[in-house]
Amino acid sequence: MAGAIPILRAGNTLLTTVHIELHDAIAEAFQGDVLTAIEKNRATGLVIDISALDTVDSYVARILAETGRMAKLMGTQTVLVGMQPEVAATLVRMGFSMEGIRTALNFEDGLAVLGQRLVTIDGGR
Amino acid sequence: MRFDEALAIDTYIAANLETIGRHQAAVRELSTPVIRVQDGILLLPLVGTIDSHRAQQVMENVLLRITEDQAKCIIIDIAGVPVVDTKVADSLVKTTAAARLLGSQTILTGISAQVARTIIQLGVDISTMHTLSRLSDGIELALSIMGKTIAPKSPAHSTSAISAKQG
Repeated sequence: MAGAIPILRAGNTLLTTVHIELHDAIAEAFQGDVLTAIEKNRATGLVIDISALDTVDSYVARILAETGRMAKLMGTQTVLVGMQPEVAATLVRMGFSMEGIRTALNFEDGLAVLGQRLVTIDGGR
Repeated sequence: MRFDEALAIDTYIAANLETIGRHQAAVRELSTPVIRVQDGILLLPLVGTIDSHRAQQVMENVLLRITEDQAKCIIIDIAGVPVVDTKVADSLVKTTAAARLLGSQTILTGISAQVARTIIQLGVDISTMHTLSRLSDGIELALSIMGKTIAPKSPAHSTSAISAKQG
């Protein structure tokens, strides 16, 4: 199951898009992959994009929050980006407000939260 | 009772219920307008009493619009809400938490002296959101979060605008 969710590196930042449901084996492998990638690349930032997920249950929410806390222990800031509105409403109703995890609207804002910026060829945004 | 009388009464009641249903739908539609103040800044003026049904609708509407507009700030103005009880405060806190999950900040404005008193006396923790008394202050705060500011036009600029109009 390792490698089911690809992790991309851009400078000191890692980007991963969760496009399949994180369950049991996949979730474990995902956590392992992320932490190994942080260790190997000495990343300072991690952006987890969950815009492709229409549902996030308490297990997945816990895995994501846990991964963020683990990354923090290794000195990496985590930003969760692109959450769907229905997902946010459900999580809050379940009492999961993921304190301690930073969030952003999209990938670009996520990089801005990490203090990085996309540079385009013409120098503008 | 005769059959035709019963039929008439039934029809009358059904028509009345339908009218009430239509009116409720209209009120629901009108009750949560989300306005775009500026790029990335949304405003939700709340007017009237908020029950649990409406609170849920407010939250859903706000979250949808935040994602649609990719809004960094949402200003909720409660100047038109007569009573803020624990339920209303709780729904505002929940909306704030959900907006944060999307990556957006909430600013609560229009807090009157009476409302401020009740919130503190009820012991509701609303420290997760920025709170201000006036809507204009809320808009200024939202702009400063976006890295913008409201500045007066420079005198040179305004005179040139006038002369351009005259010429």
